[in-house]
Amino acid sequence: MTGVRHGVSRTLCGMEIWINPACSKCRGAIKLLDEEGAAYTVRRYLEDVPSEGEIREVLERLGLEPWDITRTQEAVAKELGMKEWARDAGSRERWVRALAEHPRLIQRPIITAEDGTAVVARTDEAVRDALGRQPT
Amino acid sequence: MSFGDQGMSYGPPDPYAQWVAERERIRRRRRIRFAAASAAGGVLVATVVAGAAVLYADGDEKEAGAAGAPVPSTTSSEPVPSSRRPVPSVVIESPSGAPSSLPSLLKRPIVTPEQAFPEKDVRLADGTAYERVDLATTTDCAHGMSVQLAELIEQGEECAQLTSALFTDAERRSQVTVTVLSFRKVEDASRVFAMASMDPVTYQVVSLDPPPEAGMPTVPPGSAGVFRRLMTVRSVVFANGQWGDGAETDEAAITKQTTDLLEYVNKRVVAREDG
Repeated sequence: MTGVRHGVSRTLCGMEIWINPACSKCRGAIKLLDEEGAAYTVRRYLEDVPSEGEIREVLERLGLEPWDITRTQEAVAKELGMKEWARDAGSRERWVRALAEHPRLIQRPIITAEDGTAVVARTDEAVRDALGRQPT
Repeated sequence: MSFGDQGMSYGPPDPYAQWVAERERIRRRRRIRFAAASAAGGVLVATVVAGAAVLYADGDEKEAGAAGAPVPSTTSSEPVPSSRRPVPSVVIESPSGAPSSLPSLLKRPIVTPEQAFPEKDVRLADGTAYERVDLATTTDCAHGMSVQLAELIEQGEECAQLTSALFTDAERRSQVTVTVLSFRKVEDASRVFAMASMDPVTYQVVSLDPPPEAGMPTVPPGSAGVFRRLMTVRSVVFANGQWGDGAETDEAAITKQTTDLLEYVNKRVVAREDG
């Protein structure tokens, strides 16, 4: 697990997997990474919470918007009324802030690949896809 | 959170508290020496459970199988809150009276997920029904437990396998995660069992969140939980029970569900390891 503490920003490099240990998909993704002999860093993002900057960077690497990686079924999402939030450029920062303040809202696992992209790795195929993404 | 016997915060530890704990661990590492017997089956369980029961005298923990046995001695001094307590060095000494069958029992393969959790739909002897809504297994056990438990395991050989299953009742109200943590050596399982019995929150395995397809809520962080565990020959079986909505009511009911599912899985593990 990485040792960066809450709120400390850093540049994402190499293969990193953001996990919640309570998530069986995350455990499955790690198992597959190990079976494939991958070198990676595990980040327990509920404890080592990503900053807003890191979330923006991951979103850029994913090519997704914050609402695309938001777990809107979580209780805190319902409390915040996120289903009613606008999903446009003007509201983007509000979503990013919510993800940083409530990391349970972040979809998992997310793998940052070697080539500078990232994937939401909820299937074995997605994990293998991340493994195959090498720098050109 | 109330569920008093194990009533401490449940969920991811506070990052700052973890950092403080790490600093304290480095500064003043203490040694706790257990004179716990390492033997197979009933002898081992009785010995370690008894130690836990005595040291847990200020709680309401009611573990099955407690019996008279040596009590671990400890050199710890001032009380430290669980989240800030350093992980002690725990030495498990091999007993002189281990059953002669122990070496052959340890040659058996580690219990598989299918053997420990054979059924998706479980019906217990009293007629209560449960559904297994998720199952996950890994050999990289550190990712399925607290940092402190992972540190404790590092004092021995790494764990062989961690398998967790999430069960819910017929009303889909409860969420009970049963975890089988298996080791190659009895001493390593004993170390985990002893410490988890003394401080079940600090040395806890992680409960599974329900997968989206289960249509169940994620238990709110900090909700009340019931923690139980049993030990077999080389595995520790944990059960963590909560109401899905985080309710603190019906403690007796969630405790019964947790205990029943723990015993259900434990029987299957024992059948493979000691049957």
